[in-house]
Amino acid sequence: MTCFRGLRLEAVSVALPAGRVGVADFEARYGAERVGRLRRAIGLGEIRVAEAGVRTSDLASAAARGLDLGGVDALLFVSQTPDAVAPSTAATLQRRLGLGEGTLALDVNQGCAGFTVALRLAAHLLGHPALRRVLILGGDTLSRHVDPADAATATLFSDAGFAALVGKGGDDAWAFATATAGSEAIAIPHGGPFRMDGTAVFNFTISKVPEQIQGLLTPEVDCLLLHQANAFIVRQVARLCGFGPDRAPCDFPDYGNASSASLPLLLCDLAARGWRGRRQAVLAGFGVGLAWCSVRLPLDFDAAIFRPITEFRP
Amino acid sequence: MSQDEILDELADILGADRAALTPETPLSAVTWDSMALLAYLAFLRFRFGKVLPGVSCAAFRTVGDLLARCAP
Repeated sequence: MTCFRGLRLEAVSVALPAGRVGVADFEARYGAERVGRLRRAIGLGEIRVAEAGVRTSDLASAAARGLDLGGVDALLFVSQTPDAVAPSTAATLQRRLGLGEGTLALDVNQGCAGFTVALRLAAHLLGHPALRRVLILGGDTLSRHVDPADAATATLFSDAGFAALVGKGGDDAWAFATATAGSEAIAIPHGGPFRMDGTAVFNFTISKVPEQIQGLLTPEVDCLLLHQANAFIVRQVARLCGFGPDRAPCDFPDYGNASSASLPLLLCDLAARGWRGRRQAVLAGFGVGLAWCSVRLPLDFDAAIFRPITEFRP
Repeated sequence: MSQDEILDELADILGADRAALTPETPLSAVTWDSMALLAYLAFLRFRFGKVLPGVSCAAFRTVGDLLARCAP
């Protein structure tokens, strides 16, 4: 466990593309029986798909709109689908967002563990007195990379962008546990489609992730916010950690798996659904790498940190 | 854990209606696939500290077969 003090989550915001693909569309493509099975098995519902030409940076910068970026000394861009191999998308976003030349800007190649990994990186960076605030941007446009013939992955992921600001202040403690197990069970090879060994990934998830979470649980933890891999995985991991659906909420049927934007999306969705008050939470991200990273931190749902979800239209 | 509590958990793993789930329920009547098996094995490991190496779905016929292993 790695602990940090004096950090403050200042803002979290999400932008989703307007294009929606739902059960009726999936039935037309894959047949009612296949889709019915996926609905029962994993809670398949609706996903968001970006229009042709929309890049991951477009969604992420839309999420950053309206945030006060004063004092941002570092920009992390978290994605498995950056705009290009080079330059880094963080570099192009530094200019687009009007951040100063002195900004440290770098890409972080992470998927579903990306939000919590980036929070940890921000915590390390903010340990230096010269850095005042870290802007985390990210998201994915996985709809460009899945094989449309593969119903198991083509129905799973939502395109999305997110922004989060981490600053200093307060004496809240953040406790992280982070792990990586080099594996190609989830991969996007050069030129090839996204592929995933579902059974291997599920087996990894329900053994390693609950173990990591249990290492962070204290009696004060009152909610478990899980990366929304799919509804079955969320339920199983939550159950193994002793959390029911009221304290380990699931929004997968509404939004699908939004990769690194999944946890920011869950936070903003919970705020929109009326979650209030101060909570002690564990956030858990897990996915490609395979990487899994969880953090215990206080969340203030009264402080308007979690912004209304915005809809992106080019 | 009481049998009732274990059945609550098994209903969730099997995607089954809890009210209709009894030890006699055949697994052919619920979702008993490789994912459910892995979820069941994780449940055994986390709740009862028990590891069942090398089992397949075919090793279990009824909910009662699943219940029988739910002990330390």
